[in-house]
Amino acid sequence: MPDSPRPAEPDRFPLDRLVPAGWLLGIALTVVSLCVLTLTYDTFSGVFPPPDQAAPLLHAIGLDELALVPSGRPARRPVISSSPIDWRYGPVLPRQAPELIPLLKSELLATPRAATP
Amino acid sequence: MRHRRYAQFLWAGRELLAHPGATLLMALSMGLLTTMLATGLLLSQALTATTSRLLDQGPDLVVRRVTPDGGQPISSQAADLALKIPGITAARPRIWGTVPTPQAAVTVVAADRDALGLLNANAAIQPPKRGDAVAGSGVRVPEPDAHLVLQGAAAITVRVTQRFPEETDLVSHDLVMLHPDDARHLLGLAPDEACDLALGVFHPDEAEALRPELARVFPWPVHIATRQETRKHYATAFGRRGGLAALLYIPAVIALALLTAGVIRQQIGSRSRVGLLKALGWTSRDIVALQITKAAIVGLPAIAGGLMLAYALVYAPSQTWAGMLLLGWQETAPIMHLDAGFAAPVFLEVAGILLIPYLAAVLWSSLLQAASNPHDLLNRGN
Amino acid sequence: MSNVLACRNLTYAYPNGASSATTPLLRDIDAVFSGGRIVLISGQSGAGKSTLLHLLAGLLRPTSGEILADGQPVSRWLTAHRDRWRRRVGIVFQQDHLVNDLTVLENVMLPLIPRSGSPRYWRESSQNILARLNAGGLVRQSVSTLSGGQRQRVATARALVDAPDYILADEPTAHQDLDNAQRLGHLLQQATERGAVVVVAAHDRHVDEWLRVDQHLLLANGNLEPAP
Repeated sequence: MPDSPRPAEPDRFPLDRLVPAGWLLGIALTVVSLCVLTLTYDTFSGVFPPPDQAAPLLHAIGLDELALVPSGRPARRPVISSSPIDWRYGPVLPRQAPELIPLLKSELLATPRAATP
Repeated sequence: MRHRRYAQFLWAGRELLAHPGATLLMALSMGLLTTMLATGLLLSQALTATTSRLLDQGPDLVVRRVTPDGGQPISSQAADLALKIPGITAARPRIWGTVPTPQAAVTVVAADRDALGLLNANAAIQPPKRGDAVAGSGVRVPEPDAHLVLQGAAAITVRVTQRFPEETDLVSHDLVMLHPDDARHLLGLAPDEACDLALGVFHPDEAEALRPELARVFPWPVHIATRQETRKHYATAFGRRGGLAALLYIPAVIALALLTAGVIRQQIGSRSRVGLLKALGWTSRDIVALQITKAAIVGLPAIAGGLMLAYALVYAPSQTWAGMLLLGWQETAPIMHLDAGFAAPVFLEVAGILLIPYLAAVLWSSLLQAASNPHDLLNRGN
Repeated sequence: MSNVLACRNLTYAYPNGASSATTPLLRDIDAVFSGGRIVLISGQSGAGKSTLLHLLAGLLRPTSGEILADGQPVSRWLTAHRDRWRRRVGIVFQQDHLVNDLTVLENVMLPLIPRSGSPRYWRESSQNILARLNAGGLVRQSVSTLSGGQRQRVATARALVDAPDYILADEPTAHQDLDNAQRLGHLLQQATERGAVVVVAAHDRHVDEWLRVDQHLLLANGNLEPAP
């Protein structure tokens, strides 16, 4: 059956999509280039760091712990988390647990004596 | 030749546009995966390096008096005992501790007028008078009178008259600096007592060797911590936290495996297309080159974008999410002013981890297809 | 320079599904297709015309025997060499195998992409061949909206866009009117003038209305013989 001629359609359909493909390549190249620029900036920042205020302050206050973890957490104070000594009841923190020996002597925990014949 | 290469890239881009949804999904998946991995690695590395550099400004040795009950105040005269040891260049009694406030625990420290005077003009802090305090940005006080209640061995109320600069947040976020008399009163120390002793040595490598001598010079048992130990603690801690990046590896590897399987499945679905191209004169090399180029056009910018996002997350000005999410801060977190210069190895490592299996999957499946009989490939798609 | 395509003792058999025995479709075919001539191969449906063209195009390997192109045993070559040789072949399939994801112009330019040229060259060559086949007006349409005849013209344009040395056309005018068929015939004639081998497979009884055939062969019972 012969083809019937189609009615003329407006020029809305592209001949090809090579131009958008070119844009896609451009976007890809731009993103990769920006990443390379970021790397360059980072390397430059590492070699020429800006003036630092934190290090001189740490030296001035004389501490050996940083404010990376909230105060009172074991990870804040290396000596607490890594030492076999119980530093929790040092002079800087109030004692919280009851005395152990009076507790053991109390009636609550008294060991029942064995019955004697 | 260059013309031909560009034309091949252009055609690969065109093929990707034929399935924009799938292409975008693949790119987003790879980008997010990259961001996850790179953020963990970069944060871990930057934190470790920054803490190490900052701790270099701290004391070389810290001496604490110990008893069976734990720590004890140390006599201020202990500094003189320490200075008698050759190699010890400085001995500084420290008055400091952790005390609760109505809002959260803070670290208090007595101001050292001489040491504060050495700060440069940009970071100048005036030593507080009695009743005054210098506080970090994370110490909340009820405005407008800015009074802070501290509860230690005794309770005191101070007025926050200065704030530490935000650039020092890694050191001062929840720090409160007091006049020495206020600090002693708060911590229950006598006038001749200190919490511990901070020592400087002539050469950092000598610190370890001086421990036995220090232990002998004091009349009571002491615990001596070196800067090396402190630094190691932080490195281990952030290695564990950076080990969250290792925990991220597990879902990341699973995600990567799914992604790779998806890629292979997509390749298998295009068998008839490959058969047609072969019938039209495309060689196996042309087909493999096309598939690899398509994968590279998707993968490289996706990874690059993910890496840049990771970098922005770690190094953004006023970055506090790491503290909130990873370091246990509740309402405010310190601003992470982290050292730069580690992006290159992290970027390369993450790009390699992701790009190699992805491209390998594409290469393997396209090699298999390209070597197949075009007649079979054409008919398989029908 | 004239091209030559030849089969020598060519046998091809599809595997028989019931057992491992094979049923020969083509048996011991000897034929020479010289450049500058149009050869028509006719036969009933299922005779193996398409299979023969696919063998000549190197898309299939013969069960026995060989295919020679300019004296070279292309059927025995490695896949990579055969793929490269196929750049000189333009094949019009019975099923058009157009790619719906691509535009009409992009379908036609597919053979050009890995070979040479710039996007401008691809566009111009493709538009040129489409116009010569009365399909120039189709470039603004989506492939999925084309009729059967239009798809076939686009597929034919794709096969001819790079002026191949060996043209193998399988029922190229099955859905075409006489005018379009004659345009194709004219193009094939022009191809022979530059020395191309042209082999057309058709069972259309009115072939001579659009194609000037130099040799007519009949494929029947697996054998290729001059048509009566």
